Amino acid sequence: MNDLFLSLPRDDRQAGYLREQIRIWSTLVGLSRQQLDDLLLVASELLSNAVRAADADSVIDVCVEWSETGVSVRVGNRGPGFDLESLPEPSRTRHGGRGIAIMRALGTVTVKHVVHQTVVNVALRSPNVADPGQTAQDWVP
Amino acid sequence: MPDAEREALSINRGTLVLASERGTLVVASEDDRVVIWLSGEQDSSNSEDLHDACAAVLSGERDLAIDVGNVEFMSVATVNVIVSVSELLRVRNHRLSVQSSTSAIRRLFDLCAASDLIGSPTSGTGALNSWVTVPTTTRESHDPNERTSEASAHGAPIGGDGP
Repeated sequence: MNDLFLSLPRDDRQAGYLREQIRIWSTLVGLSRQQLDDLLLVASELLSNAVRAADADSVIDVCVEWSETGVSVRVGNRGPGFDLESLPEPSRTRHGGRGIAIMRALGTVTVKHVVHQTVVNVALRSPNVADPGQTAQDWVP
Repeated sequence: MPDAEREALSINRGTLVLASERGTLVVASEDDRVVIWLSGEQDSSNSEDLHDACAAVLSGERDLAIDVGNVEFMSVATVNVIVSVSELLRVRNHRLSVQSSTSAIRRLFDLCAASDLIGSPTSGTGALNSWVTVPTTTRESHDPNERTSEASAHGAPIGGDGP
Protein backbone atom coordinates (compact mmCIF):
# COMPACT_ATOMS: atom_id res chain seq x y z
CA MET A 1 0.00 0.00 0.00
CA ASN A 2 3.00 2.30 -0.42
CA ASP A 3 2.27 3.18 -4.03
CA LEU A 4 0.25 5.97 -5.58
CA PHE A 5 -1.52 5.29 -8.89
CA LEU A 6 -3.24 7.93 -10.99
CA SER A 7 -4.66 8.02 -14.52
CA LEU A 8 -4.81 11.60 -15.69
CA PRO A 9 -6.24 13.34 -18.74
CA ARG A 10 -3.73 14.77 -21.20
CA ASP A 11 -3.76 18.28 -19.78
CA ASP A 12 -0.99 20.49 -18.42
CA ARG A 13 -3.20 21.61 -15.58
CA GLN A 14 -3.22 18.07 -14.19
CA ALA A 15 0.29 18.65 -12.85
CA GLY A 16 -1.16 20.68 -10.00
CA TYR A 17 -3.56 17.89 -9.11
CA LEU A 18 -0.73 15.38 -9.28
CA ARG A 19 1.33 17.45 -6.85
CA GLU A 20 -1.63 17.68 -4.47
CA GLN A 21 -1.97 13.90 -4.47
CA ILE A 22 1.76 13.40 -4.00
CA ARG A 23 1.82 15.77 -1.03
CA ILE A 24 -1.00 13.84 0.62
CA TRP A 25 0.63 10.50 -0.17
CA SER A 26 4.01 11.70 1.10
CA THR A 27 2.60 12.30 4.57
CA LEU A 28 1.70 8.61 4.72
CA VAL A 29 5.18 7.37 3.87
CA GLY A 30 7.11 10.12 5.68
CA LEU A 31 9.32 11.63 3.04
CA SER A 32 11.89 14.23 4.00
CA ARG A 33 11.40 17.73 2.71
CA GLN A 34 14.09 17.36 0.09
CA GLN A 35 12.73 14.00 -1.04
CA LEU A 36 9.33 15.58 -1.48
CA ASP A 37 10.74 18.61 -3.31
CA ASP A 38 12.65 16.35 -5.69
CA LEU A 39 9.67 14.08 -6.21
CA LEU A 40 7.33 16.97 -6.97
CA LEU A 41 9.78 18.41 -9.46
CA VAL A 42 10.49 15.14 -11.24
CA ALA A 43 6.84 14.06 -11.34
CA SER A 44 5.80 17.43 -12.74
CA GLU A 45 8.47 17.33 -15.44
CA LEU A 46 7.58 13.77 -16.38
CA LEU A 47 3.91 14.65 -16.65
CA SER A 48 4.64 17.79 -18.63
CA ASN A 49 6.75 15.80 -21.09
CA ALA A 50 4.09 13.13 -21.35
CA VAL A 51 1.37 15.71 -22.04
CA ARG A 52 3.44 17.05 -24.94
CA ALA A 53 4.18 13.60 -26.33
CA ALA A 54 0.93 11.76 -25.75
CA ASP A 55 -1.65 11.08 -28.39
CA ALA A 56 -4.68 13.37 -28.31
CA ASP A 57 -7.45 12.26 -25.95
CA SER A 58 -5.23 9.65 -24.34
CA VAL A 59 -4.68 9.26 -20.63
CA ILE A 60 -1.40 9.40 -18.79
CA ASP A 61 -0.65 6.85 -16.11
CA VAL A 62 1.42 7.86 -13.12
CA CYS A 63 2.79 5.56 -10.45
CA VAL A 64 4.79 6.76 -7.47
CA GLU A 65 6.44 3.99 -5.50
CA TRP A 66 8.07 4.05 -2.11
CA SER A 67 10.20 1.35 -0.63
CA GLU A 68 12.95 1.05 1.95
CA THR A 69 15.46 1.72 -0.80
CA GLY A 70 13.91 4.92 -2.09
CA VAL A 71 11.25 6.61 -4.17
CA SER A 72 10.58 6.24 -7.85
CA VAL A 73 8.04 7.75 -10.20
CA ARG A 74 6.89 6.20 -13.44
CA VAL A 75 4.84 7.92 -16.13
CA GLY A 76 3.39 6.15 -19.14
CA ASN A 77 1.63 7.58 -22.16
CA ARG A 78 0.41 6.50 -25.55
CA GLY A 79 2.47 8.18 -28.22
CA PRO A 80 5.85 8.29 -29.87
CA GLY A 81 8.78 7.70 -27.62
CA PHE A 82 12.15 9.40 -27.57
CA ASP A 83 15.79 8.47 -27.31
CA LEU A 84 17.37 9.71 -24.10
CA GLU A 85 20.80 9.91 -25.71
CA SER A 86 19.60 12.06 -28.61
CA LEU A 87 18.21 14.85 -26.44
CA PRO A 88 20.11 18.15 -26.60
CA GLU A 89 22.15 19.37 -23.69
CA PRO A 90 20.46 22.40 -22.13
CA SER A 91 22.12 25.75 -22.62
CA ARG A 92 21.42 29.35 -21.72
CA THR A 93 19.87 30.02 -25.11
CA ARG A 94 18.08 26.71 -25.68
CA HIS A 95 15.38 25.32 -23.44
CA GLY A 96 15.21 21.78 -24.75
CA GLY A 97 16.56 19.09 -22.49
CA ARG A 98 16.61 21.04 -19.24
CA GLY A 99 13.90 18.92 -17.65
CA ILE A 100 15.58 15.66 -18.54
CA ALA A 101 18.91 17.03 -17.33
CA ILE A 102 17.33 17.73 -13.96
CA MET A 103 15.84 14.26 -13.78
CA ARG A 104 19.24 12.79 -14.49
CA ALA A 105 20.76 14.94 -11.78
CA LEU A 106 18.19 13.77 -9.25
CA GLY A 107 17.90 10.12 -10.17
CA THR A 108 18.32 7.30 -12.62
CA VAL A 109 16.20 7.70 -15.74
CA THR A 110 15.06 4.78 -17.86
CA VAL A 111 12.79 4.83 -20.90
CA LYS A 112 10.88 1.82 -22.20
CA HIS A 113 8.73 1.53 -25.28
CA VAL A 114 6.05 -1.12 -25.13
CA VAL A 115 3.51 -1.35 -27.96
CA HIS A 116 2.51 2.27 -28.57
CA GLN A 117 3.28 3.08 -24.95
CA THR A 118 6.25 5.06 -23.68
CA VAL A 119 7.11 4.58 -20.02
CA VAL A 120 9.67 6.79 -18.30
CA ASN A 121 10.85 5.83 -14.85
CA VAL A 122 12.97 7.94 -12.51
CA ALA A 123 14.40 6.31 -9.41
CA LEU A 124 15.28 9.21 -7.16
CA ARG A 125 18.60 9.36 -5.41
CA SER A 126 17.45 9.94 -1.88
CA PRO A 127 18.36 8.98 1.62
CA ASN A 128 16.63 5.83 2.78
CA VAL A 129 15.43 7.34 5.98
CA ALA A 130 13.50 10.55 6.31
CA ASP A 131 15.09 13.26 8.42
CA PRO A 132 13.46 13.23 11.85
CA GLY A 133 11.26 16.23 12.35
CA GLN A 134 11.36 17.25 8.71
CA THR A 135 8.62 15.36 6.97
CA ALA A 136 6.30 16.39 4.22
CA GLN A 137 3.92 17.79 6.82
CA ASP A 138 6.57 20.39 7.53
CA TRP A 139 6.77 21.39 3.90
CA VAL A 140 6.63 25.13 3.65
CA PRO A 141 8.00 27.44 0.99
CA MET B 1 -2.74 38.37 -21.63
CA PRO B 2 -5.46 40.58 -23.12
CA ASP B 3 -4.21 43.51 -25.18
CA ALA B 4 -5.85 46.02 -22.87
CA GLU B 5 -3.95 44.68 -19.86
CA ARG B 6 -0.70 44.55 -21.77
CA GLU B 7 -1.26 48.18 -22.76
CA ALA B 8 -2.04 49.18 -19.19
CA LEU B 9 1.13 47.50 -18.00
CA SER B 10 3.21 49.33 -20.56
CA ILE B 11 2.09 52.61 -19.05
CA ASN B 12 4.89 52.08 -16.48
CA ARG B 13 2.89 52.89 -13.35
CA GLY B 14 0.32 50.19 -13.66
CA THR B 15 -0.10 47.25 -11.33
CA LEU B 16 -1.30 44.07 -12.92
CA VAL B 17 -2.64 41.02 -11.11
CA LEU B 18 -3.17 37.74 -12.90
CA ALA B 19 -4.56 34.74 -11.07
CA SER B 20 -4.47 31.33 -12.66
CA GLU B 21 -5.90 28.20 -11.15
CA ARG B 22 -2.95 27.65 -8.83
CA GLY B 23 -0.74 30.67 -8.97
CA THR B 24 -0.78 34.43 -8.96
CA LEU B 25 1.33 36.95 -10.79
CA VAL B 26 1.54 40.58 -9.78
CA VAL B 27 3.43 43.18 -11.76
CA ALA B 28 4.26 46.59 -10.37
CA SER B 29 6.37 49.26 -11.91
CA GLU B 30 8.90 51.32 -10.02
CA ASP B 31 11.11 54.17 -11.11
CA ASP B 32 14.09 52.16 -12.18
CA ARG B 33 12.75 48.64 -12.47
CA VAL B 34 9.73 46.42 -12.74
CA VAL B 35 8.95 43.89 -10.02
CA ILE B 36 6.98 40.72 -10.65
CA TRP B 37 5.74 38.83 -7.61
CA LEU B 38 4.91 35.21 -8.17
CA SER B 39 3.02 33.09 -5.68
CA GLY B 40 1.45 29.68 -5.43
CA GLU B 41 2.43 27.15 -8.05
CA GLN B 42 4.24 28.22 -11.20
CA ASP B 43 4.49 25.65 -13.94
CA SER B 44 3.73 25.06 -17.60
CA SER B 45 0.04 25.76 -17.02
CA ASN B 46 0.72 29.42 -16.22
CA SER B 47 4.23 30.09 -17.53
CA GLU B 48 2.67 31.75 -20.56
CA ASP B 49 1.31 34.47 -18.25
CA LEU B 50 4.80 35.10 -16.95
CA HIS B 51 6.14 35.13 -20.49
CA ASP B 52 3.56 37.72 -21.54
CA ALA B 53 4.17 39.89 -18.49
CA CYS B 54 7.92 39.80 -19.14
CA ALA B 55 7.37 40.64 -22.80
CA ALA B 56 5.57 43.80 -21.70
CA VAL B 57 8.45 44.58 -19.34
CA LEU B 58 11.01 44.14 -22.10
CA SER B 59 9.50 47.01 -24.02
CA GLY B 60 10.21 49.32 -21.08
CA GLU B 61 14.02 49.04 -21.12
CA ARG B 62 14.38 48.60 -17.38
CA ASP B 63 15.71 46.04 -14.94
CA LEU B 64 13.39 43.30 -13.77
CA ALA B 65 13.11 41.68 -10.36
CA ILE B 66 11.07 38.53 -9.89
CA ASP B 67 10.12 37.85 -6.28
CA VAL B 68 9.47 34.18 -5.65
CA GLY B 69 9.18 34.29 -1.87
CA ASN B 70 5.60 33.01 -1.93
CA VAL B 71 6.09 30.40 -4.64
CA GLU B 72 5.27 26.93 -3.34
CA PHE B 73 6.37 25.11 -6.44
CA MET B 74 8.21 26.07 -9.60
CA SER B 75 8.78 23.89 -12.65
CA VAL B 76 11.38 24.01 -15.38
CA ALA B 77 8.86 25.72 -17.70
CA THR B 78 8.96 28.78 -15.46
CA VAL B 79 12.74 28.68 -15.18
CA ASN B 80 12.92 28.53 -18.97
CA VAL B 81 10.92 31.74 -19.23
CA ILE B 82 13.04 33.48 -16.59
CA VAL B 83 16.31 32.40 -18.20
CA SER B 84 15.26 33.46 -21.69
CA VAL B 85 14.05 36.85 -20.44
CA SER B 86 17.30 37.35 -18.54
CA GLU B 87 19.23 36.77 -21.76
CA LEU B 88 17.08 39.25 -23.65
CA LEU B 89 17.56 41.84 -20.92
CA ARG B 90 21.28 41.18 -20.76
CA VAL B 91 21.85 42.08 -24.40
CA ARG B 92 19.98 45.33 -23.69
CA ASN B 93 22.31 46.04 -20.75
CA HIS B 94 19.61 45.39 -18.20
CA ARG B 95 19.40 42.83 -15.47
CA LEU B 96 16.95 40.24 -14.21
CA SER B 97 17.22 39.01 -10.65
CA VAL B 98 15.23 36.36 -8.83
CA GLN B 99 14.62 37.41 -5.25
CA SER B 100 13.43 35.97 -1.92
CA SER B 101 14.04 32.45 -3.16
CA THR B 102 13.39 29.43 -0.99
CA SER B 103 15.82 26.55 -0.64
CA ALA B 104 13.80 24.46 -3.10
CA ILE B 105 13.90 27.19 -5.72
CA ARG B 106 17.60 27.87 -5.18
CA ARG B 107 18.18 24.17 -5.72
CA LEU B 108 16.10 24.24 -8.91
CA PHE B 109 18.10 27.15 -10.28
CA ASP B 110 21.31 25.37 -9.32
CA LEU B 111 20.17 22.30 -11.24
CA CYS B 112 19.33 24.52 -14.21
CA ALA B 113 22.77 26.17 -14.04
CA ALA B 114 21.01 29.48 -13.54
CA SER B 115 21.89 30.23 -9.92
CA ASP B 116 23.60 33.45 -11.00
CA LEU B 117 20.11 34.91 -11.42
CA ILE B 118 19.37 34.49 -7.72
CA GLY B 119 19.66 37.85 -6.01
CA SER B 120 19.05 39.35 -2.64
CA PRO B 121 15.55 39.68 -1.17
CA THR B 122 13.32 42.50 -2.36
CA SER B 123 13.83 44.47 0.81
CA GLY B 124 13.95 47.77 -0.97
CA THR B 125 11.46 50.43 -0.12
CA GLY B 126 9.52 50.59 -3.35
CA ALA B 127 9.16 46.89 -3.88
CA LEU B 128 7.62 46.06 -0.54
CA ASN B 129 5.45 49.12 -0.52
CA SER B 130 3.89 47.97 -3.75
CA TRP B 131 2.43 44.94 -1.99
CA VAL B 132 -0.40 47.03 -0.60
CA THR B 133 -2.01 46.88 -4.01
CA VAL B 134 -2.33 43.10 -3.85
CA PRO B 135 -5.50 41.52 -2.44
CA THR B 136 -4.60 40.40 1.08
CA THR B 137 -6.30 37.02 0.70
CA THR B 138 -3.82 36.06 -1.98
CA ARG B 139 -0.85 37.53 -0.18
CA GLU B 140 -1.27 36.06 3.26
CA SER B 141 -2.35 32.50 2.67
CA HIS B 142 0.23 29.72 3.02
CA ASP B 143 -2.28 26.92 2.65
CA PRO B 144 -2.21 25.61 -0.95
CA ASN B 145 -5.83 24.46 -0.77
CA GLU B 146 -6.99 27.73 0.67
CA ARG B 147 -5.10 29.66 -1.99
CA THR B 148 -6.61 27.58 -4.76
CA SER B 149 -10.13 28.32 -3.70
CA GLU B 150 -9.38 32.01 -3.37
CA ALA B 151 -7.77 32.21 -6.78
CA SER B 152 -10.69 30.40 -8.33
CA ALA B 153 -13.11 32.73 -6.65
CA HIS B 154 -11.36 35.71 -8.18
CA GLY B 155 -11.41 34.18 -11.61
CA ALA B 156 -8.68 34.61 -14.16
CA PRO B 157 -7.43 36.97 -15.24
CA ILE B 158 -8.16 39.61 -12.64
CA GLY B 159 -6.69 43.00 -12.08
CA GLY B 160 -6.97 46.41 -10.54
CA ASP B 161 -9.11 45.50 -7.54
CA GLY B 162 -6.47 46.11 -4.89
CA PRO B 163 -6.84 48.79 -2.25
